Amino acid sequence: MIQKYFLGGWIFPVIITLFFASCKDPYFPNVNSSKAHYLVVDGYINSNGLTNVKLTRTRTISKGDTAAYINETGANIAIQDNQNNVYPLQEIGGGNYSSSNFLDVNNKYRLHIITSDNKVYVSDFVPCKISPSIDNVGWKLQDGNVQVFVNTHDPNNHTTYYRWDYAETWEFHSEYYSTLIYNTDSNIVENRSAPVYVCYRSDNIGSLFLGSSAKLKEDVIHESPLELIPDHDRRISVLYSALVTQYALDSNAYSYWSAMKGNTEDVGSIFGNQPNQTRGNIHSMSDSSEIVVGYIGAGSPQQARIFISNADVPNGWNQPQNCTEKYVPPDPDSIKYFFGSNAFIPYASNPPGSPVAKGYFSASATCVDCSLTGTLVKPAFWP
Amino acid sequence: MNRLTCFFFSFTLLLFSTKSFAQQGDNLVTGNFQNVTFNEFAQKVEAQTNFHFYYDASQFDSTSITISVNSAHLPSILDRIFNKTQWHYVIDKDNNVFITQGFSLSANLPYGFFNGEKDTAVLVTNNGSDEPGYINHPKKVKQEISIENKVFDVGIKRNGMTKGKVNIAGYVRDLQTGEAISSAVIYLDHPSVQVRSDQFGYYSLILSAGKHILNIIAPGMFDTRRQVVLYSDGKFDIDMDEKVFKLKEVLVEAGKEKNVRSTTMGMDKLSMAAIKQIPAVLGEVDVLRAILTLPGVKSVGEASTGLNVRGGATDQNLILFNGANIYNPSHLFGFFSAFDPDVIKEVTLYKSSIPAKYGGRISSVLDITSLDGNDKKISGSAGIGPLTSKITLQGPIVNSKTTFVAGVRTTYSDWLFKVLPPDYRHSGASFRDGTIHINRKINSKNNVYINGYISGDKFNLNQDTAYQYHNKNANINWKHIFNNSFYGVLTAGIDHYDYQVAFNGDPVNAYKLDYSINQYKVNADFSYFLNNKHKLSFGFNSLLYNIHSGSVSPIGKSSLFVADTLEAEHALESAVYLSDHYDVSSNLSFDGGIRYSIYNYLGPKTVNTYASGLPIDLNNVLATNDYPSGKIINTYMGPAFRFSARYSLSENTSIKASANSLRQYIHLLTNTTTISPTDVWKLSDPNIKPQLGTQVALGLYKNFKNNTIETSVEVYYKWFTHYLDYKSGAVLIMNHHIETDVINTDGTAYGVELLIKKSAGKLNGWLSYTYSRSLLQQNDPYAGEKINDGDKYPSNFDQPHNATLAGNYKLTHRFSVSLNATYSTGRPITLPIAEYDYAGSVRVLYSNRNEYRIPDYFRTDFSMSLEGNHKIHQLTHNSWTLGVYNLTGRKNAYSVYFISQNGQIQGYKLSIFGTAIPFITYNIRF
Repeated sequence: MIQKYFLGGWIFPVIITLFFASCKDPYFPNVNSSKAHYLVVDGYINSNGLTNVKLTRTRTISKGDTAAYINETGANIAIQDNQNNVYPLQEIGGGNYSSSNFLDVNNKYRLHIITSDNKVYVSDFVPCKISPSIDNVGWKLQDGNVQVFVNTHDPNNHTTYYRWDYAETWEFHSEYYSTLIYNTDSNIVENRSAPVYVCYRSDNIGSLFLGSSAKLKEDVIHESPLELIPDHDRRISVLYSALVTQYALDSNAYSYWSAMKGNTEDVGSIFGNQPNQTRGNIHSMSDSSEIVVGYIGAGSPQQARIFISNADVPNGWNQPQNCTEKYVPPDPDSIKYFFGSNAFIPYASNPPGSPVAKGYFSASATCVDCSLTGTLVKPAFWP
Repeated sequence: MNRLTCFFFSFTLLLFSTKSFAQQGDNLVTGNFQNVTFNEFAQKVEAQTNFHFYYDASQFDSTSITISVNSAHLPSILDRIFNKTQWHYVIDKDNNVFITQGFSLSANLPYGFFNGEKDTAVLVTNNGSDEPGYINHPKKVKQEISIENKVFDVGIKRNGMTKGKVNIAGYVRDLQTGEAISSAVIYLDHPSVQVRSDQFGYYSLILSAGKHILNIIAPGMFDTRRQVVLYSDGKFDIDMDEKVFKLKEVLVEAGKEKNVRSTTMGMDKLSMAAIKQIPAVLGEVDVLRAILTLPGVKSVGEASTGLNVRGGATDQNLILFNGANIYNPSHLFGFFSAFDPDVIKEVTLYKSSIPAKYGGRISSVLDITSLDGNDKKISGSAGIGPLTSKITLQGPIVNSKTTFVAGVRTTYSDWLFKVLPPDYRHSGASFRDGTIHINRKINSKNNVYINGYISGDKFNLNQDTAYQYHNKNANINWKHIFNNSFYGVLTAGIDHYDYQVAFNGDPVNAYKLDYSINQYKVNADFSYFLNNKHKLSFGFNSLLYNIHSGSVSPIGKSSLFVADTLEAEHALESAVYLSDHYDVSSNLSFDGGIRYSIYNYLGPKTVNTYASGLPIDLNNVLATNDYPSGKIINTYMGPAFRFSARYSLSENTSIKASANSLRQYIHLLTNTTTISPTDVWKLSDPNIKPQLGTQVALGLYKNFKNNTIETSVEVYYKWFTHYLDYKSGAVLIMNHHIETDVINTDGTAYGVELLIKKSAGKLNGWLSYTYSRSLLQQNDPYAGEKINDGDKYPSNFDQPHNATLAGNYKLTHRFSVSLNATYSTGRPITLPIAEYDYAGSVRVLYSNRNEYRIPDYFRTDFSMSLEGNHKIHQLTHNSWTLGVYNLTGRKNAYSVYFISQNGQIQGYKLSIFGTAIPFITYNIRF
């Protein structure tokens, strides 16, 4: 809510268009990146199920993100409570550590980490924040775009600060229904056994979605904006779904997440907020000045799912894809040239259904085979 | 003799009267003149005859005459001397000889005849083709002739000459408009005395009784002089004539600045004429952007008119418009300043030695004054540009005793949003401002000035959030002249600033936020001309602050927003001051002043007391006290010293030094780089100490080429304490205990400023170079966190190297071109030191503040100004200005930042004006 007082990032695009002249250009200054690689602890103590913690190290800033990811392996991680109970996590590879627990929500919890170089890090004890259930996830049209939002409330007025994870999945179809497939080994076009017309794709939105009811009389979150899907976006070309996970935060966690959002998402405006150097709640036991990135909260999240069908959005949402069609004569050289390179995929023969084709209708590969950009496997929750 | 012809045609009819008395005789001239000046020639002729010469001495200063005559009639001699030159002479029946250049006078001119009935054929031009448009304005010429040679009696005339000292005082004004002329210099050669007119155009001079010649010079005005015979104390007003043409007058300004040297250092005065020459963004003449071309003045970027003067913060400038304190001097997110250029007379920036009458800010005082209003006729101007239109009217109201200036400016930028992509179609931005100044002369001893100013801005971005802010200011000034050497100005005024933010995007969360400042002030300022060596200023200022620090309330029935109001803040800032301008000799002068201010923080208010020696946070609250209305909660007081001195090393070289201390009891809370309309002003209270600033400066000034070229070097060092910085995650708006979120910071700034300025001739302008640093240090042990480990770090506006060229070249009377070039080091910026993955996206880690800089800044602007014809008497005067802002199209970085996009960190450079921007404006004067 606090952000709304400020002009934030809105000013920038307005000024651009107002003067038709201002602009932002990719730019990469020479930054003397820190040589040190600080520990990054990304996770959440789930009191009611799977707790996953990922340990990584900060890396130097490089153009095009070429710097190698640094996973922190071989660490000993455990959840501790203020009653001296310890719940160890298992390393499951790639810097991930996890365990499933059902914890007493009246206790306070922290994470205790011993890295492979025998340094000890602990997070501050935090109470369990139990998220109220999500009332609903909905959407509305806003200037032709689909704005997904969440409604929730806490009848006990205990929660106040919220964060949402947003995982989306959508079904999409190829532009052309193909009955044919090119056989690389024999250089011939055959009938396709399984269609590549209906596909699915999933993504985790990296944006941070935060909400607060601190300024309101009741602990109500009303239409707090989540993902904004621009008009004509292919995600709603058939059916779109989003799984929203709601976490309850304490006020320190909210400050930390707000700062992180401010530093990496709400920058670049004319008024340019100063970078916020709020520290997380994880500390090195040996060197209190050492930077450790991350904030470990505890509690149990809630989830809700939304579906948005193409039939629900205005007509004209879907626009023709940029597909190149090619009619390929049946001689082996042409077939090899166009189909062998995988630039084009045949979808019908001429005349249609004829065993001896005079030629093949084909189009750019991604317009025919949706599995090139998605998966053919239908998710379990899909209707 | 041929050298005469190399003089440019000049219209400066400063007739010069030689002092010798005519002698009786046959009026024949005898003599052998070998390479004598015309002056010597005239003196010798006057000694022999009873002819009396009148001519402009400056036109003859490089003329030499060689002629040998024996008992010749003067006309025959002059015919020989002036043969085939531009010079003409005429001799009237009283044997007065008038020498003119370029035109001749009619001998029928009844000399001494002025202020009167219709006159015919005052001037007879000799050459029609050379005749410029203005020569059909003979009255002015006549006035110059007559008024300068008339002997005025001042005081009560008695038989026989009075002995002793008498005081002469009055106003210096523009003959055409009645506008007061400040900083006019009135000087006498014998005795060597000089005084300056003050901001009302008022001067006061003590001289021995008897006859004196007053010489009066002022920038942009024809030099003039008056002959006065002083009998007793009296009033004497001086009208000066504006220079209406600008070509071929290379000589005109020469020599006039040599006396214009004051003790004030670090003061820059810009007239509107100079400001209008500077190419402007979108053709909007802008006083604050003009100020930015001066050495020592910077801003963090092109979207900001917030000034950083000599390493000070933007809230450390006292911005006065006709005495009204303007809290937000910007329009349209800071792209334009909120002052209508057409009503402004001049702008003065004090960045080093600040007069003792000003207080309350520690970095600079920007004093903007409007026109007084033409007391002869109604006139006006209007301008049309792509974003704004404006109209200004001025003139007498009933009679010439009451004059007014009024201007309004409005924008129609809303239409721009309508043609934009749909995303912005619901956005809008508009602004308007209005100024009125009324000047009523009650009698010769009493003047009343009334000022009003209002400005408003409104913008909404994509329907959701609407912002608006307003300045409203009014004051009344009563000037009373007790006697010739003592006058006072009593001022009462109200300054108001407010803003409102309304969020309507969602019915449950809809709210509005209101914030306002009201301040009421009473000032009494007195000037006492003790004698020609001492001018005293003293008075008191009293300022009552009333700040509604913010209130939020729900909009609509379904809104669940909790109404909340911060307690209003009240404080009284009072000050007394005394200063003396002391001319020890013509070479040495001092300005010394002391200002003692007392600040009372007043109830009603609830104030937390925090344990000393512990961080100021809510865990360390010792007591919470409620203070009733009007109760003094705490008091800060202290003196501020203002001192400056000038010593002239030679005719055109001087050295100046100054030391100043200042106190500031109000703070701007902002954690953005530039001033944003929603920033909060906070008063000092028991937990937030006043800002204190001190500056010492030393300067060397040298003029060349008849003082047409001024050069200066100034060095300064300043330091200030209790400047506010913020803890990470500080909440600045609607915070009931803001003291827990702020940190005290100390600052130092130093620099050297070099300036070369050419103020006369076809080519004029200035070139400046500044090396300066501005550093902050935050090592408050109780702050909880230290910025950059408590080391010094550069402030946001630390731009070490800065060079500016502002030039104007007049090709013809009507056509001039201006070029403006600016270079500066990029401002400091905080960049991330590492990246990492978190919550599904790549993030960046920031560490030390302001360790990096954005790329250097370079911009060139060009403009051409085309005036209509120069006839003075015509219905309207038109002018066109066209030009290009950012001629090279350089994409100057405004900021550099990293953003996480599609799971990747991408660096961006944001430029405000990324291409060359052409503009055109049309102005009408009537």
